[in-house]
Amino acid sequence: MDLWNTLIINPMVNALLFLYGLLFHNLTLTIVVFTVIIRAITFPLTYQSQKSQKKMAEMQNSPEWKHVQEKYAKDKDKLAQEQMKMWQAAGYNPLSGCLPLVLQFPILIGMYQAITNAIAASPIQLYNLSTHLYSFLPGVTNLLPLDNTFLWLNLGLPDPYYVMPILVAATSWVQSKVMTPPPSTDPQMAQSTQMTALMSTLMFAWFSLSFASGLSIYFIVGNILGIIQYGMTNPLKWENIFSLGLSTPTPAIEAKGGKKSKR
Amino acid sequence: MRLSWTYLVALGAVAVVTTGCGAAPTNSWLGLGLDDEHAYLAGGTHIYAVSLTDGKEAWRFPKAGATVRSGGETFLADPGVSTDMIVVGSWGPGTSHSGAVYGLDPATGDQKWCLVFDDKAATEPEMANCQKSPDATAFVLGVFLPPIDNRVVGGVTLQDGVAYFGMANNHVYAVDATDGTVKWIFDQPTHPVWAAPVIDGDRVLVSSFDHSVYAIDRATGNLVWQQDMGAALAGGPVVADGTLFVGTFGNKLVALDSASGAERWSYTTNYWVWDTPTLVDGVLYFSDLQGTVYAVTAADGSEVWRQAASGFTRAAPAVTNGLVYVGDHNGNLVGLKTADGSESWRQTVKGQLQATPRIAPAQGLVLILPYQGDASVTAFTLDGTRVAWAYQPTQ
Repeated sequence: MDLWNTLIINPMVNALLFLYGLLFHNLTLTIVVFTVIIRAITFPLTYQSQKSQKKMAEMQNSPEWKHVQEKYAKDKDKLAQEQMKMWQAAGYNPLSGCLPLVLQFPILIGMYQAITNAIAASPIQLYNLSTHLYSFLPGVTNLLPLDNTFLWLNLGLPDPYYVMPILVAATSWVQSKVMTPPPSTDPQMAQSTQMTALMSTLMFAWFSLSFASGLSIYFIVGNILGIIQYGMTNPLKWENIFSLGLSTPTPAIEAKGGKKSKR
Repeated sequence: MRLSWTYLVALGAVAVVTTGCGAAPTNSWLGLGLDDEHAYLAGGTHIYAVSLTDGKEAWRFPKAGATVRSGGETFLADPGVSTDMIVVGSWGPGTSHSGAVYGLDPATGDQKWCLVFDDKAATEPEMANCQKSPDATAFVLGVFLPPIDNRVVGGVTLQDGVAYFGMANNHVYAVDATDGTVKWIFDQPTHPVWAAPVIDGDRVLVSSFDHSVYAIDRATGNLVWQQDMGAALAGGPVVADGTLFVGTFGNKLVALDSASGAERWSYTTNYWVWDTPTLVDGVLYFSDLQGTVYAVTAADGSEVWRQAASGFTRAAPAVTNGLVYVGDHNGNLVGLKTADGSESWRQTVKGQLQATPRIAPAQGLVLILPYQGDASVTAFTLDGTRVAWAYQPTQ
């Protein structure tokens, strides 16, 4: 826990307060700028992950992979071996896709804790904040308490009118849809991708309903930045926004016993 | 496929961490008020009256089976206690922060009156008989425009039939304790008031997060003076012989002339002084958040002693019988000698001792309220040799 605080929470909390001092004591602006900085820092990880996902999706849509799937439909072990061979031949490392993604989660959790601590809407949060401050950073204590009002929001409390959860859900859904890799002809893959989009949307909407609305600002800005970052290197698929399903499995795969994907 | 499931599992991990490990189960430590016979515990979902003799529960509010506000309420602020009334403030149901204040019969826990601070609470059927504060946040076109934060965080001061309290909505209230009628509202602070007000003759002294101490006319609620302390104040002042003493987040304990607000002296500490200092026999006892305990002469601010006795220490010490009782973040209750600060004894309990230890002199007990501990209240004998009783509410 000490290591977590030292490496993640303490730098984030103090950076947030330092920015607050620079940005006219505007907490909303501070969270927006902080999110941009964090996104910029983690961009290499995000880019690597997106590149890897794209590569895998392309492989899974290739005629070679379809042929292998049909050939070893009843031999899962052999199918896995062949898949590994194809990955090796293409220079694809499955860890290169998920590892950057997983590495981002400590940052997400750190952001959550840093923002809730900095807003310090309750005595326990304020107490926790006091344990994270750098004594060598001049004037940080004088910044407290942070001005946590923005429009109708108290940034330390959930939005009572559910506007922020709706915006979080909407941007999360749009992000997951427009950033979808090329449609997979593998029904399981398509179903899994579809479920990921739905689950992540619901999860972040639930976060937004339950926690400080300051976090919702982070989620919304993060989602928009995610779309922009993806759009810089990949085509955005705006046509997917209103689509629940992603692809139509080929009859050949269905005939081999694959699950039907919902449209 | 693997990638997506990895993502979902990681999302689940984030959910667990943010809702479980990352967030505290409650937003504050518990509150406590005392009279000669009972401890009145603001214990989260209820107010509990507990016998100081044996730790047995006498009553609870709301009573079992009673109608309560939708989503329940949270009671964490120190109740104000007098012989004929207990006044308690709540944080409101769930995350609404739509708090209320209740007047209770000390003998039975029966509700005598209630007071609400926004239309949300006023329109709840179970709050239909409550008075509505004149400054209640109103609906405009069916919604609140400004954010509401009507929590009573710092506790209630009851004196001469009037309850005084500050709220997270930046206002200070004086309320008739017999029926809940609002006498006046002081709305000059620009940030929340988390500390219970202190009465000094015809004035009410209040500290606020907006860096200021306010002296308010007790009869009218008008401002007498305001002093900027240069840093946020979470704890209230203590006042004696025309001087008030208050700790600040600017690593200081400051003495002010209570008539004018002019600074008399200040004493520099290692870190924030959060809680109200304890004044006994002309000496101020207080701690900073880093765990150093100080004894300072009230007359001129000269240091008597300082002792690095504990871990992180938020709460003010309690002082009696030549001992300073200090509770810390690590669950240590330490008895220091008032003469030189040397340690006399130490007991350790599960949980953090964030709330100020309280002395029950007639029973010879020191009461602690471990945050996230095994018991809500643990009563040690004053010599620290044994636990007299411990109270944990049953569901």
